[in-house]
Amino acid sequence: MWLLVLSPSIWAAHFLASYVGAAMWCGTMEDRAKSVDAMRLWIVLFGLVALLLIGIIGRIGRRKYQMEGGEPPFDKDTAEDRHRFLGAATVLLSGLSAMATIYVCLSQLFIRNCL
Amino acid sequence: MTLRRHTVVATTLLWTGCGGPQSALSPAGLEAERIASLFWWMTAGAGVVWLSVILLAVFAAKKRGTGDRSREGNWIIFGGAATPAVVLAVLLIFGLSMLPDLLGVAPKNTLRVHVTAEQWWWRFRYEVPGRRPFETANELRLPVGEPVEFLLHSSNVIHSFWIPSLGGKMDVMPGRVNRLVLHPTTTGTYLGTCAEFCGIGHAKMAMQAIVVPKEAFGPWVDTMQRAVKP
Amino acid sequence: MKAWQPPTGWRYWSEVNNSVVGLWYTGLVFFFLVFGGLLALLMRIQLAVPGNTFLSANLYSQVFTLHGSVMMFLFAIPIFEAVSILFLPQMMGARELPFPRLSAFGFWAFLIGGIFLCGSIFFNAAPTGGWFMYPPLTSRYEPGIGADMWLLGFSFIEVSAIAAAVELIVGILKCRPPGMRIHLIPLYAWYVLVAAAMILFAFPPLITGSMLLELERAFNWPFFDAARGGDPLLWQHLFWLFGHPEVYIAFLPSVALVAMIVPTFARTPIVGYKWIVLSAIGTAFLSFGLWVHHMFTTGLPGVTLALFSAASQAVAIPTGVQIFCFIATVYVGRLRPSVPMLYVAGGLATFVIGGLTGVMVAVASFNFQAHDTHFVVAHLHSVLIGGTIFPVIAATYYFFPLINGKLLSERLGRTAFWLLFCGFNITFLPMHFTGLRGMARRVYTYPAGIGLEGLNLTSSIGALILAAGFGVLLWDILRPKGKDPDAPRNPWQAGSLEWLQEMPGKPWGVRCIPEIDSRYPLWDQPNFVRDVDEGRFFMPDAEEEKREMLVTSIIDAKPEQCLRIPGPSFITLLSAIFLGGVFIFPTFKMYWSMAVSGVVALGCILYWLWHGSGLIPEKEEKAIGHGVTVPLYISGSSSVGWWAMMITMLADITAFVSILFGYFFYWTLHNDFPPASIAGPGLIWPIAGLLASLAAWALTMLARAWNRQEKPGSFYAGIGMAVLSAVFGIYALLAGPKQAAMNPEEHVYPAMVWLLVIWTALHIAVGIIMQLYCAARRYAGRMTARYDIDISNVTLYWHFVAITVGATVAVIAGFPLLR
Repeated sequence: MWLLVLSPSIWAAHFLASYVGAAMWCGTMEDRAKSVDAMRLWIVLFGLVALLLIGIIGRIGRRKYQMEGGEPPFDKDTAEDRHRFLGAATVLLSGLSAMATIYVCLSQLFIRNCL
Repeated sequence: MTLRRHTVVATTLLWTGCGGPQSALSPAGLEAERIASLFWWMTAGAGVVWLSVILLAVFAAKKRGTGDRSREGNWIIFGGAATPAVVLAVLLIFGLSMLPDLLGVAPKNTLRVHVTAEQWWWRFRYEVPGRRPFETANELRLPVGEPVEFLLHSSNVIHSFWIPSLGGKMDVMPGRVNRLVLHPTTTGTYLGTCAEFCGIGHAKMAMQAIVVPKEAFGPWVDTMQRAVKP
Repeated sequence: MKAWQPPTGWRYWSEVNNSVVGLWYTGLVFFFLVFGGLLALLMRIQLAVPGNTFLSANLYSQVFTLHGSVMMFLFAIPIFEAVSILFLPQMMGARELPFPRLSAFGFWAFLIGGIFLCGSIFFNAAPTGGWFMYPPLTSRYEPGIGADMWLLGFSFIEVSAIAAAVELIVGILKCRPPGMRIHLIPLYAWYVLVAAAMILFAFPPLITGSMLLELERAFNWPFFDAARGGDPLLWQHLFWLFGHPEVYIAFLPSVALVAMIVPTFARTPIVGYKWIVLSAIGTAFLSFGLWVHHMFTTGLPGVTLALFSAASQAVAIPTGVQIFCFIATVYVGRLRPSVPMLYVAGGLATFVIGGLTGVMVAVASFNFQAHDTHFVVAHLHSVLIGGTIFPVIAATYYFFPLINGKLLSERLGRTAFWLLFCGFNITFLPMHFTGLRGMARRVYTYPAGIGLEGLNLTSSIGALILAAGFGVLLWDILRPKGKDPDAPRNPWQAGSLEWLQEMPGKPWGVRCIPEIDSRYPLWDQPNFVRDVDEGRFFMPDAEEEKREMLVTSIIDAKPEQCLRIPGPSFITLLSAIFLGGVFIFPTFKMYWSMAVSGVVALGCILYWLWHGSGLIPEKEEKAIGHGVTVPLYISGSSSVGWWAMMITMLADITAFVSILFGYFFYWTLHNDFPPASIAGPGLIWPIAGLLASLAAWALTMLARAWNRQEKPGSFYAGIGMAVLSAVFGIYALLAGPKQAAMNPEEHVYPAMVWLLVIWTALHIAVGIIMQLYCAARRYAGRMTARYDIDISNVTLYWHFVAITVGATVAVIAGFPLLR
């Protein structure tokens, strides 16, 4: 069951790191006009790493739900269907987490400074 | 009623429904214009989305008989996940592209007004480049077509400085100095108000921004200078 | 029958059965809904015309503050807890939730706290800072007890909400019918699991923030005072870290009700079960990354605004997916019109409007105009009324027969619906324009002549129509139904377990615990209802005349324990009263009364634990039917008690992390933090405190081992040394700031250090009480080598204490060394 929440946790970790990083970089009010290009790059780079990890988890989930036998919806009372269900839900959550991570990276397109 | 009369009535209603001296939807400044335009685009989009969802729901409810469970149902859901994902990404890019300009730096030698939020009125201290500073209360006079940078101070509670027709608002926080840059584009008188609950006088903490032609601004500054003790 | 019979006469109020407590709870929540609604009506009357004198400015501030606070704290969260206490066990074929006394305690706390807060307005003493209470307005500019009532009163209620969340999580994970594997649980259970987990992480930041604000108000500690290093923005961060997930905590369980209703009337299983699970979990995670969108205009850097704008838009995806799942279900099935579906339809139509305006305000650029105006008021009411209230009303019509076996009136239901739906739209649709035409929030009046009169008058008329709708609804619920015929069993022909109930229901819930093979057992499993009625499944009778329920494993619901649960008791009411005193007395600055009340509360809680928990059964195992026997007592990580401790401590550690967040927030604000001019607690005392506390922790673990190895001498010695170590640990931790003469009123840095140290010391002190309790239990023979749940759970608690001490010392002693 922990695999299920791993992808959103990766999104959360990337988001938190970006937020904390931005807060520390832009920090006090005095230095607002300084450039943030380096920070934007880090956010996007870490975003790509996050997407990679999310992708791996998604693939694991996909393998689980493509186990032999079983037809969606996976609602039979068997351990296999339970695995398939958790695998399918993992894939979906990975998709959502990936979208959300992409949004975070997109958000850095236009920012130029700490203002 | 003829179609023409309908259109006139509708346009008038629309007009009266949106305008006003304190209205974000009758913009008189660059920032307000950009945001109002964004608002109308988003409203149109939202209307289309809402109508589509309702029509889809009505269609689904009216359908009788059993469709193929997995496939058709899942198409509805997948569409419901994929379409918003794309639309929202577009909106995000579009909306955020405006952000640097709205938060941007003012060029050197911009007119600067220090705004101090008192309980419950606005103190304006003008720093015109090359002139002595002077103060007004609750009334701003601004030259049209020129940027003005407001520096916001409070020594009591949090307030928020908002002149809807000119642009968005910025909170006035004790312990920090926030900045807001506005570019008025049309002459006229525009009303503003405090937009963060600050106590009993909050509802009455209004202000006026009188945007005048550039030729009229200089003489006004001169008049105000004469009142300031050297 | 005898085991489950509710007591009669005044002893009725000592009942802890979920059907009874759930009913009281739901009734009380509806009372607060009406109270909050009346406050709103007062506001709309005042705003009907400009310059109105119906309410003075001060009274208006009390009214709007209470309206928001009552709706958010006394309605939106408690309604889902109440409904869950009432129906969740039945949805899962269980007889009860695992901690019935905790539910009852939660109800009494809710009653006491709620009456205290709502009563304030009748004494002209209600809080006036708005439901989000921003300092410095609320820290230095509001003398009087209103703000203190808010901070302390709602903290008390939040504690009871966390208690309910703990119980619901444990109930859903551990108390299911055999065969109800994790992928077969009703969607309502998934949603409530997610929402309860969100409560664990969302409420503590507010509790921390309230603690900081109350310390500033009562003792002048400068957390939000810029002149002494504090910052009002910290409150906003802590509040909205709570506030944003809060609205999803309110919304998700309501949409969960829709997920139970739609399949019934579409006469088909839900389409997209895994998509809905995705939505619930995805929304929960994303909702913790949105909080700064309430702070877009505070002057934060654009890069931060962009991040939160992105996350705020992302959350619309899972939110929307659910709606498409419902549409798909209706499409695949054959929809039967009914009053509940009418409310579902109206609610979703309204909610979608709110969701779309939400996406609009999520765009930071537009937010600069819309923030703090009536546009936001329109948005929030669309999502809350459409997404929470309409589904709750739908559920009221749908689930009513489960309460007393009668149906509500179709005619009145439809009348109420149209009044509510039209009233809502007439009130709130114009408000979008009211806001953009310049009307800010929390204003008791507005200037004439700028185009706001017509819009406001329309909204006020709409509010009267809305009120009429609620009136009709209330009448339908409260009218005497003695002469109405009983509803048929399973009147809507639904497929899920709660509809096993006979009309009217029996106090023990189900006759026996069923074995489940599908998500809709009443539809899919042949002869299911007959088998349940004839007791063919598990635990059909109460042979020892005790209340019993089944505990199962988390993923696959294999039977693990037959849990004996307590019957009626007044200790829950007494504990709630005295714990309430701990929060209410400081409001009036009566600190000695607070201390006495605290001691009595502690006594009540210890009595409760002593007599009601960890009871050693008369036999080791019990046969529950079908050749299965399960133990009557388990300890360790399979037991419900262990899980309850674990989950509670997760909430506690979140509150602690929020304090650390504050410390580092101040560090990002100031170039010089800790300030060089103020002496810190040094290294020696903090490290001494750390070592002593870690020793206490280690000794506790050893004591647990010695107890299991039947070495009572070592056990008592271990506990004794652990207690001494812990006492010294407290002394050492407090000595650090004391000997450096750190003055918490001087600057936020000493205040933070003192706060961290006192928080840690209090937790160690509770740990000492727990260690002594274990020793007493062993001595009295209530805990043995085999039956060791007390020391098992206490050790778990001490793990968290160890983490807390470690982190505190690292921050107060170690961090300054890094600079």
